[in-house]
Amino acid sequence: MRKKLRLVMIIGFFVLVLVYPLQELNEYRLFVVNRGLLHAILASGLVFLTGFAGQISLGQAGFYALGAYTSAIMARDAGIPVPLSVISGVAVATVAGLIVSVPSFKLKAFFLSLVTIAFGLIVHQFASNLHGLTGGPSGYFGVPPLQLGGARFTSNMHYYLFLVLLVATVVTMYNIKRSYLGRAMFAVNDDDVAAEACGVSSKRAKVFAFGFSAALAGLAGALLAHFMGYLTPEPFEFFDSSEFVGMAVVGGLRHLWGGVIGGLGLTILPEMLRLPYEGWENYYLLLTATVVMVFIVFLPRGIGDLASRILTWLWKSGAASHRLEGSASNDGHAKAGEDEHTA
Amino acid sequence: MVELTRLVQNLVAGVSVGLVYGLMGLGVVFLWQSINRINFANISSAMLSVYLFFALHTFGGLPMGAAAVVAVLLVGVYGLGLRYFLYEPITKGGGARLEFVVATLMLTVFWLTAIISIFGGMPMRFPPLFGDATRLVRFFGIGVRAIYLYMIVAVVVLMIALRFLLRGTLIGKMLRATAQSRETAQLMGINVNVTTNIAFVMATTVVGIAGLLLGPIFHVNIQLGGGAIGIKGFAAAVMAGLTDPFGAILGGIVLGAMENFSTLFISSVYRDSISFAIIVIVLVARPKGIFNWSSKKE
Amino acid sequence: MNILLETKDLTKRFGGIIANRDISLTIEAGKTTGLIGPNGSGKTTFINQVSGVLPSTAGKTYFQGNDITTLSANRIARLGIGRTFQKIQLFERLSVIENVLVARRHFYKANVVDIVLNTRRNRREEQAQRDYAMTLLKRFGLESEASNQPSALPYGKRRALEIARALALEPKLILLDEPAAGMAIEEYSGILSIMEQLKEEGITMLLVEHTMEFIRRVVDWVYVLNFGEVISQGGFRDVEKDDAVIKAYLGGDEAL
Ligand SMILES: Nc1ncnc2c1ncn2[C@@H]1O[C@H](COP(=O)(O)OP(=O)(O)OP(=O)(O)O)[C@@H](O)[C@H]1O
Ligand SMILES: [Mg+2]
Repeated sequence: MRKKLRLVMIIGFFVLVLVYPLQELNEYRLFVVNRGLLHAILASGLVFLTGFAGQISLGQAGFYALGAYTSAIMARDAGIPVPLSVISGVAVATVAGLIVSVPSFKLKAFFLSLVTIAFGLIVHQFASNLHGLTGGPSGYFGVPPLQLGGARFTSNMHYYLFLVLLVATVVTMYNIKRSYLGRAMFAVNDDDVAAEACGVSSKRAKVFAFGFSAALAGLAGALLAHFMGYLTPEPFEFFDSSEFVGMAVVGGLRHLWGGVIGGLGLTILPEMLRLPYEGWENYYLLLTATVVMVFIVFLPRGIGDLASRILTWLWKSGAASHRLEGSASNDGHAKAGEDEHTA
Repeated sequence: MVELTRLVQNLVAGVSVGLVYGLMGLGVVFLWQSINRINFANISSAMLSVYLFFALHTFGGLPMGAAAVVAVLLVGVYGLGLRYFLYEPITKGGGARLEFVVATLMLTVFWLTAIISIFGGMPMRFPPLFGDATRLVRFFGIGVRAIYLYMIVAVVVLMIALRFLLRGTLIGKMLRATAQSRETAQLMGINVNVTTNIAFVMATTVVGIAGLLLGPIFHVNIQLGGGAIGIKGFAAAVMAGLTDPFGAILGGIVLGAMENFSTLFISSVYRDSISFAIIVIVLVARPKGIFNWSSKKE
Repeated sequence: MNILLETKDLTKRFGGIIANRDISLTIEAGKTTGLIGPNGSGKTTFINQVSGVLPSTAGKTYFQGNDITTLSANRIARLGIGRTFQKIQLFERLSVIENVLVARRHFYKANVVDIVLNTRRNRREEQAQRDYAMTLLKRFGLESEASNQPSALPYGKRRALEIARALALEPKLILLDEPAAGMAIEEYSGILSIMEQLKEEGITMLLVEHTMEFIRRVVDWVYVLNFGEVISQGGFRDVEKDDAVIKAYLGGDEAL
């Protein structure tokens, strides 16, 4: 009985996700959702970095910017096809991620977060000041759009593309999480000395985590450039890096879906709070910030954790008979949120 | 070749702004000493005191001096709020360092949003709390801007007061004992609850004062609550190994001076980038701090 | 005599404190070597130095004739030196079997592409490693706890799990830092029988222990440390009677 209900709900959810853009007549709302999907990709990278590997980055907007500007410049000024320019954006962001990972060998927590803040600020300053390359604060225009068969991407096509990439991101993270790579990262996060004593290189785990999360931020940035058609340094500030971390935390750092929930949720939430009352337009962002604060203070393990607990409770009877070894070990990660974080 | 006058002028400017960075670093040090946590919204106190001062004077009609005092006092009370509405609930909910980091990070975003919602994002003129802050005061033929002298005097007076507070009073003894070890302090009969409150209040108050001192340079500007300035306070604190209050001031001075000279000799555009790069280098090379005499030597 | 591990004048300084001074000792293959000494005499520091967790201030460590002094801890572990910790250090966020699997990492051959696409090769290899880990857990009576969290295990089983994890490296030498600490005789007898088994299989061990009964039962040769220096060595019966050793231990007791 419950199993059927579960199946119906899952199928219903997928149908909803697939037909959503077709029935959405409000072009702006679809735009917001598309931005949300990009944020979800980026925030997933932070879930990977912080929740899985125990490292922290308060400069994720730096990787985001590197992906965006690289792809834009490669496509417009160097004239290479957009899919290749996106790949080059991802590559540059990844390399930057590998470099930023080096201080993490020695530094922890607060000190590491300062390095990443500095990195993000430096990238932002270059984006604002290298006028010849980036157009500076006035912006970089004429970024070639994504195309399919000679026609530029519509909002719907962007939606499906981003959705596919997001799903690919989550599947990749899932596969890594349950592999020896994921275990090595969890081990380093838990106790790097013990991990080393087990033959696991904590450096390699950190480099991998930083590289992967930077790659995702670069991918989101590159897609953003072609989706928007222009770039300014504005979405790449320290403020934004903080918000990305907020997304990952509100979604649930220890959850595979944390980045998706947080990225989409915190992008869409302000729009939902943008009620049509007079004078309200100044305050909906403040309300959003308040809601986020309340979530973080009172639900520090994130919505993902809450949701998975509610779902587990709902399916308890149905799922109990169905526990295989694999799923049992995944429960292990879910429970792990209860330990102290050691970022 | 840069002439001597400009060199001295830059040194004075750099040192005095650096002193203020040091004050911001003090906010970090006080809290770290007391609860072993970093408040990423440390810098928000500077922005809050400036906007409060602005509002109290412009809309509230208070005279400037009174507005400044009330603003700093309110920011001190806000420190208590930080403890009871943020730190305690998170700790009770089983949250550890990371939760506190993220919560205070979001608090930075919250305050920026709040200020923008209420005052708009445009910079406004800072009421002339220090008279004409840009006028030149002459020393041996070298003109120095008045605001820098105010900064130096203010920070030096504050430092003397702090030294007296920490070394010469019972409160100072209690604070230092708590900083050494909470458990031992508790055993010695020190009310750790009270010292924690004092630490929170002192942490926000010094940063609030720093904000007012920066006001004439930055104006009433949301930049005062942003990452670019905030990180300099952290950098000053880091150079002090997060533990030495006077080391934080010295760290601030060095940072301010380097920043000014990099403007003079390299480029003003990348001034911040250069100081961020220095921060990274210091962090990687000497994570225990450079100006750190108070934590036990390894 | 086949020497597996040898240290030459190994020294460790923490600022002003010299924790270990010029320690030269050898560990013979297939034997169980004891390392004893009063509290704070440098035993744990020695294990940390050999396993690469702490860099040495001076001196050399040779493993199978190769200089491993400056290698990283993970390299040393992969060369075949497993260890446990005085204060148990398990991965609390991973399940029991996953704790063991962490130490199997370098036996995997699947690459990132295999993992991301979850190819058949990856699945097959994962299954094989899980089977191996399961066999190991069975030896320690942990098979029924495989998918539990380590925090749910009683103290003795947590110790056993840590040893199992170290053995998953398929090490040539295993360094055990007080495996029986905090246990009563009936509790540590399980560990003792495991160690006797390992010894029969020819696994070389370095055993740090305060429980003399434990030492007496398993070791072939003992080194005694005091204030970071080797003050005596020999068979347990001889060392037990050594005046220097008795004095060191009495001195330690007086200090308490
Ligand atoms: N990380 C460290 N920093 C400074 N001193 C240390 C450090 N680790 C150990 N020491 C010092 O080195 C000396 C040796 O310590 P060690 O832990 O190796 O002794 P031990 O023989 O293992 O003692 P026990 O039997 O109590 O476990 C002690 O004086 C200790 O205080
Ligand atoms: Mg020891």
